[in-house]
Amino acid sequence: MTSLETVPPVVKAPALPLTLRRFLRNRLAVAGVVVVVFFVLFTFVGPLFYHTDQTVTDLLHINLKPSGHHLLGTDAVGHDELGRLMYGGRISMLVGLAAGLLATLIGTLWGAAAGYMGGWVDALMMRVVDAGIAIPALFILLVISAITTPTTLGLIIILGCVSWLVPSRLVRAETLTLRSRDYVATLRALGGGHTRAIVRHIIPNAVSTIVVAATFQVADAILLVAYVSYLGLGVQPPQTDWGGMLTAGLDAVYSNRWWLIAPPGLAIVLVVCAFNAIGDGLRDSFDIRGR
Amino acid sequence: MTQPLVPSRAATDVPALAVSGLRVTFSTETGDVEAVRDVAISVQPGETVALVGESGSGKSTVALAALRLLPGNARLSGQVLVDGQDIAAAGGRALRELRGESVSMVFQEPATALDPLMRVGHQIAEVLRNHGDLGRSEAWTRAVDLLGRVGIPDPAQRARAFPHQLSGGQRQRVVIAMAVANDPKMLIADEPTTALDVTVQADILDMLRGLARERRMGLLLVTHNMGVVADTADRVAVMYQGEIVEEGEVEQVLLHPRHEYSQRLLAAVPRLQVAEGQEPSTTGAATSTVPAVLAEDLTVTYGRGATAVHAVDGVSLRIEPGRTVGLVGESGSGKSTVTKVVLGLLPPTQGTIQVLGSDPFRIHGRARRALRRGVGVVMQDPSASLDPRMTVGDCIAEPILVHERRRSRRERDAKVGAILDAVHLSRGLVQRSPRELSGGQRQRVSLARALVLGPQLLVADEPTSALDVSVQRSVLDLIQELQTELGFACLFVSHDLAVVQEVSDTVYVMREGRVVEHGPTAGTLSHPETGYTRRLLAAVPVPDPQLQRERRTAWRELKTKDDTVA
Amino acid sequence: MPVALYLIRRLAQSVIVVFFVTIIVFGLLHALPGGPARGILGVQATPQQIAHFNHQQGLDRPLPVQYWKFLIRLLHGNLGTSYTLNESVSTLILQRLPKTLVLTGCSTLLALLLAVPIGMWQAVRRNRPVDYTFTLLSLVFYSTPVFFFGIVLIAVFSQELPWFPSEAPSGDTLGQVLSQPSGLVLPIICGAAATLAVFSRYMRAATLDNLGEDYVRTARAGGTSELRILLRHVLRNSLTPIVAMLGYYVPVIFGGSLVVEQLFNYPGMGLLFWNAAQSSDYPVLLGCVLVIAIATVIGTFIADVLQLVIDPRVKVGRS
Repeated sequence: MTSLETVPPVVKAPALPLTLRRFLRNRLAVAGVVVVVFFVLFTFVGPLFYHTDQTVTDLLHINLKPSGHHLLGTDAVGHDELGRLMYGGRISMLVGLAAGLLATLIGTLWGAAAGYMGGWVDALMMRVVDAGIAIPALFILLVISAITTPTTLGLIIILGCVSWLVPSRLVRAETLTLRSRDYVATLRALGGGHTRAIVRHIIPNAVSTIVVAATFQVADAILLVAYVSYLGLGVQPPQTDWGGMLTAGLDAVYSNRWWLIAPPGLAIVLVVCAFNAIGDGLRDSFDIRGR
Repeated sequence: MTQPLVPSRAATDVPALAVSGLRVTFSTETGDVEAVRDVAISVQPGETVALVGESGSGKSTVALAALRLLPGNARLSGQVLVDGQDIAAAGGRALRELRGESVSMVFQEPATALDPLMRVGHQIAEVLRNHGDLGRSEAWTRAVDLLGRVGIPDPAQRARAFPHQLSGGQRQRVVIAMAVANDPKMLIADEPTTALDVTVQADILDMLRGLARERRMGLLLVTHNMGVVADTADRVAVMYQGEIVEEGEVEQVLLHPRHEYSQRLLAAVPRLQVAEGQEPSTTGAATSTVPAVLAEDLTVTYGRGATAVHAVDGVSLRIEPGRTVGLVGESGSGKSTVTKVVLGLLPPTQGTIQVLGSDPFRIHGRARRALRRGVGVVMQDPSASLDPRMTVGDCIAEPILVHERRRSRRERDAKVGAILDAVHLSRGLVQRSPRELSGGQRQRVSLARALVLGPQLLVADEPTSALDVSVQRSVLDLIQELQTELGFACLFVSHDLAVVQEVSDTVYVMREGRVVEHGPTAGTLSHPETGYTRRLLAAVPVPDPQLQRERRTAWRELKTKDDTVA
Repeated sequence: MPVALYLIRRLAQSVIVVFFVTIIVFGLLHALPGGPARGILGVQATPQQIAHFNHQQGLDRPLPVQYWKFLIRLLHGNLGTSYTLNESVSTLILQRLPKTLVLTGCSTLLALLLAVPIGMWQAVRRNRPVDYTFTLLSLVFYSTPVFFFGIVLIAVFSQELPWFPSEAPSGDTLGQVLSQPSGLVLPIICGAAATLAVFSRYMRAATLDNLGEDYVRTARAGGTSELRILLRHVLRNSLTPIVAMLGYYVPVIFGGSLVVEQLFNYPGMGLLFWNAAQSSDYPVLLGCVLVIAIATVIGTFIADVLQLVIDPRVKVGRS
């Protein structure tokens, strides 16, 4: 045989797959993971160690500065601020996570269907998406909240239904690329059906795009929850979340009660930052160059 | 005119390029890779040196090193003297002065080599103004002049065009114009014609040679194509795994190679048989009278009305069972479109198509599936035709899963194992991912997948075009071996005439959607009837320098009969 | 395909999108408690008035017919009447829109003027301290809710350091608003931050992509200086995706203006909307939604046309 090829030697599988190694090298992304883990522990495990009462008001101790008793002070009705931060965090993160994942799910299904079917179906489906994008999410949310006051579950569903548009465009683009790959054409040529093409070839190869999109959607959803609650339309008292804690923010500024503003605000910034950093890190690790 | 210019060996001549002790190492995620090890090469003014090798040999790295255009993760050591000045040690400003003026480069991919948002005239003018104190209008005038020199018709008009408005060959001419604008002593061309059609290639190589001679410019031509070497070079250097294994005058290296690698390389090159009597062997024997493929008056039209484009225009094709039909043509000939119709992926606008006795677009259900399992397909790009998320075994087993669901796991594995043996791949590769295999191995996996159900027709669309020469040889041999063994008919599509000549019994030559000529391979290619086929054949360079010189003269004569510049 | 055909096709697409928007708004209109009758007649309407109105307006007719009438009304510029402010919605919007446009226009312009050079600089100094610093800053600004940023701005620059007023200049006309520029500084900065973060990231990515392209290598091989390559070649090629993104960013900018205007009490459309939401003033709410959506569609259309101007390749067929 005149072949100059050699069979590649069986390479000892590296301790960690390349994607993971790349991710770990990204310091911001790793910091993001640490921050998320910290806040999950803080909000869910924290209250077990730091007992506060978030339902009964304590009008004798309103607007206190941070002290030994109340590490972050108290708010306008006497609730402990640190405890509020913990409980509020649960809502912010849970609603954000659920809404983000829901949005990604709907968006993936819509975008993949449009991208795979192509033609006028695709064009029509994407015009619907364009129409949805044209209306700012916040505006729609305000209109809806003027009509009804949603429960937490309702809030998740509404947020998910408002945010699925962006991931649908991403997934559609990815589907279009994958659909035209040689291995899909070969499958069709040898008689494989659409179902097989989608389930066995397109979706597995689109997973990395979807995962990255999901991470960014969670970040956006947590942010959106904060906006909605800040405007008074999100979760209702006595429940609260970080955005809601900032509703009275302006008044707090004027009366110099920084402990009411800084913690929830910083918490939002840190968590959203963390998810965005993770998303960036994932996107770089799944680098398409490698394929 | 046909003798290479003998470079004067006067002691006062400064070599246009003198590389010594060149070592280039890339730092990658998986460690350091030494791409070039201790390479020394020199090019005299007016001399053309070819740097030959397969992928991974390091030849492109040497070319890029000569202009210090290596990517950021490359470390370079050694001496690179351009017209006596060391470019390897030059700093920012000195480097900019050397590039484009003392040494220039022409790259492989004309489609992306130019700024898409800038008119070509301005891009040439920019290079001129980098090295001379020219006003804008003066630079423009000279740019137009240069365009004319590189053979672009109506240069004043064309200079105002954007790159996407030009053809591949024209874009490459623009890049060459930019490269020679300031009369460099040394020109480096990295696979300048690999992405172009063979007729365009002949034109551009001719022009490059002319320019080099006229301006006494040293030319370093990096290529993997031996025919191109025979056509243009005075001296050759053969590279393998980062080192130069052989070097010498072109006749000596190409006709009497001394190093084992050079010998193997040259033996593997498919050679276009131009003399009569050297007929390639035919394979297989007809067993039934139903043709494997019968197409009559096929037409595929895109668009409507005045802007309609006929990708395929009235093509008739016939493939007998067990025989191989070669479909050859340049870009835009429509051969890929015909392939899609035969595969049942694209319905024709007009005309009829029958594959294995049935029309793939008229049948449904069981008959359709029966037809599909009778056809196997191998495509050009080995990295795109296998799903990177599946194992090799899964890829090959896929047709079985589609058509023979009922087969047990064991039966499937047995079939996969058997076909792996047939394509000479180790059964141990079943668990690997396609990403871990080389290009040649991936094509064999593709072939295995195409043949695992024992089809009666194999459609091979440029199956070896993306492979190295030596690998190409083994895959071609394999296809022919399997055809003898399994008896399938084959539609072999390629732009490479030498390859088509070797494997097909019958050949169809396509141009702009039409079949211009067809017939038994031996006769058609040795006695072409149409001018187009003759020009096509004349343009293909053969790896024999003496023979190629004669062919070059013949080609020039033929060329004067057709004035279109691609 | 020729330019004219492309533009017509693009226009047709935009019209379809607007149609879908009207359907969404129509749907919302019918989801309101009391239905569209309340939307026109007001909160005080009695059941008899509503029934009469319903019959008169044909609201007992099938939905498609109603939708058609709704469309006709829209085309006549009739967006209904506000419940609380006793004026037609169109008048209100016409009054407030220019002010919002001035605010968002200035914010976006400021953001872009900074984002383009910052993004390019980051790309050129990739993975060096400058790049990391700006990446971190972009990340933080992108993740900060606009209202929090605004509160912090007010706390620092208005309370602690009395440099700027915490309220935007009030007034009905544009002239009045523009007459006190110091009151505009904080709102503009507030609105610009997130946009700056997003577009500097895009610019960085686009510049990096282009720096790796073959034509940059060709230019280097010809001896062109790095600066010239950046400014003459890379910049123009990088702007195309930025322009495309801008069109889709219009709704985000309007969304941001809602919060900024509410915080700084700026008399624009955002504040109008906010007040309407507080008082359930549906005609205003829906009218604003419609206007903004149409503005977005126009925005994306203009962005596509701009792309056509910048990038001649767009003319040659698009999938």
